[in-house]
Amino acid sequence: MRIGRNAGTYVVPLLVLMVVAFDVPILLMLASSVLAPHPTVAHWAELVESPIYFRVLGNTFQIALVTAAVCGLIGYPLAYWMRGLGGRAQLAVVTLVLLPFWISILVRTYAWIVVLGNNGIVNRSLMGLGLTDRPVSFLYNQLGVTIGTTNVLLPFLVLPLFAAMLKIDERLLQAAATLGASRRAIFWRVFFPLSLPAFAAGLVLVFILTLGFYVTPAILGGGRVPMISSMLDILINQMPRWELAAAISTLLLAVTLALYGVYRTIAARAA
Amino acid sequence: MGAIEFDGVAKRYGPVHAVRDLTMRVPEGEFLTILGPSGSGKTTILSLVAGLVPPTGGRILIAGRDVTNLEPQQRRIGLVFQSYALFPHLDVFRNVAFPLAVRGRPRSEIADKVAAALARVRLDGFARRKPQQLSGGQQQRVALARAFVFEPDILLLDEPLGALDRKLREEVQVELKALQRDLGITTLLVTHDQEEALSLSDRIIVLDHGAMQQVGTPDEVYRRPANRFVAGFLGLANLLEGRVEAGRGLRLPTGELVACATQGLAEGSPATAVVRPERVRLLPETAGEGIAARVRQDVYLGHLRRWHLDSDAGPELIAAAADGVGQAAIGDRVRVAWAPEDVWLLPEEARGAAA
Ligand SMILES: Nc1ncnc2c1ncn2[C@@H]1O[C@H](COP(=O)(O)OP(=O)(O)OP(=O)(O)O)[C@@H](O)[C@H]1O
Ligand SMILES: [Mg+2]
Repeated sequence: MRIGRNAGTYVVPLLVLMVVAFDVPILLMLASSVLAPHPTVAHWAELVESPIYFRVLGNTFQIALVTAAVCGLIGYPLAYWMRGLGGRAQLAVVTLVLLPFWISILVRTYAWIVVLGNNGIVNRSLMGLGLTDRPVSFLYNQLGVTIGTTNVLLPFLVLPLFAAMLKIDERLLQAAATLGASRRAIFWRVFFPLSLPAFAAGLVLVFILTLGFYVTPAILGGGRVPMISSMLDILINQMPRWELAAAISTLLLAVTLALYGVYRTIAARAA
Repeated sequence: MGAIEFDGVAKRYGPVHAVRDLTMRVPEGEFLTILGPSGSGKTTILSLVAGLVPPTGGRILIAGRDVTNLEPQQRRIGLVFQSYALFPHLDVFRNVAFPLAVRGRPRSEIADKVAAALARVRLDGFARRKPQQLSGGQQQRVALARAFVFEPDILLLDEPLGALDRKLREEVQVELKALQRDLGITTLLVTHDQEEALSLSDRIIVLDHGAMQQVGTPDEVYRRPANRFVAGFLGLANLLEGRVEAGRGLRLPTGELVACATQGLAEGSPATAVVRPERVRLLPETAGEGIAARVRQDVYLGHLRRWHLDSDAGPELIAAAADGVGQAAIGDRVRVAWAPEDVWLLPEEARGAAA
């Protein structure tokens, strides 16, 4: 307990700095949705009454949902495959999965424009193979945004999931085998349920991260795929309507905190 | 139900011989204990029978069928792991139901059999608990129920009682033995607890460094060990080295004669006499027989009292008796004696333990 109190006193200055430099401004900003220029619910009323904002919110949720689903569909088999690899191959693949973290998100996002553009390698291959005679538009629509966010966020799902899979005791799978379970039954009755909490936690994490994602959707959406973050950009930089942006941010924060609560509950079950 | 046959079975992990050239037959319904120190290959033998690791040599037959290349799923074996390996996401009922569920048995049959198995291990009322909510002994019994509920041909138990305290262990031992007898199921039990091995088994095999040292009934292995390793591993033993005098006994280097049967051993050949402490009698110094010794230590064990003695015959000697039977204090000079039929002679070639 003494140690705890001592450590506490060392942390106090940092804590004060955090509160003053980060938390207070955020709270002031959020408060402006009901206090600026004087106490009012007008900004919230406007938010609730104009369908455009809810369309953008709905659109954002939809993209987040699709991104989480695609990350799950790619990430689970990937993590499962990585778990079965031998020591050296495993290290190599983990490095490959981590590699994108070391490359700037901007570079990666612009690279997608090169790859997916009308003259990009994907469209040229498709046309070369005769699968299509006009370029498929991958960019500046939901498809492009989803491809980009999936690419950036996939490691956030794969790495914790892989770690959780490594922790699953091999002897449980052996026990299932001696008890007569086929490979399929071992996977569905033992392995998958044991990996499910980490998997669900990863899906929620990707979902939350997509909700507030700005750079990649802005570039790959080309202004044509409205998401919350780009709408905030417009409200602040072009309108400028800080109060409305604050109201939307408050809503986003509330949803994110609720989801984070779900994430923590699931992650705690996984541990 | 079925007998197990090991035919030259070997398992190597790189340079490590985990099991060497094991050939033996475990008849149907036998309770066989595998006894040996840590790392001697006990778990490896069970894993080979269960099919969790492939042997590097030899064949394994169960009920006359060569199972060497069969998957674990096809072997009909109930295995209780050293760590229990209960499924943490399933409650007790669904853990025990697992082998029945994967076989697609009807719901009502599963419910009946699981209830019967849980009653058998005295865990009725625990069906809805998760494994984490059970004590070590309860988890062990769930693992046991799960291993026999699907009526396997063979039961393999890897130190299932290791985590239990002494009292609970003795209780579960009695239950286990009764269960095995009722089911009539061929059982291999791994342990490094020699008392457990002696009290539970029809036969015992003693392993050292992957090599079988001896196989026999508890009585045989205890009273007539095949070599010094077995003699020393199963309880305490007095080991006296000397030369055989045919028909009379063993002559110690100090000149004393240990009278015993010398069946077939050549005159003058080196040998070791094995005498169990509880066969050693303490006599007053004035007694006309026995070897002179001095009490160095007096160990009280509750039901037993044990004396460590410096003897004139060379090595330390150990005597033991029910408390209250013998009398000797530290420093006392005494004489120790035993009956000729309590001496077991090991010929010289049986001295080396492991190969
Ligand atoms: N997967 C493995 N890879 C390499 N060596 C192994 C492996 N499994 C076991 N061994 C080695 O084989 C030998 C026998 O191991 P085993 O687990 O059968 O011992 P044990 O008798 O069960 O010991 P304990 O009483 O400690 O459980 C040991 O030397 C061990 O280090
Ligand atoms: Mg072991």
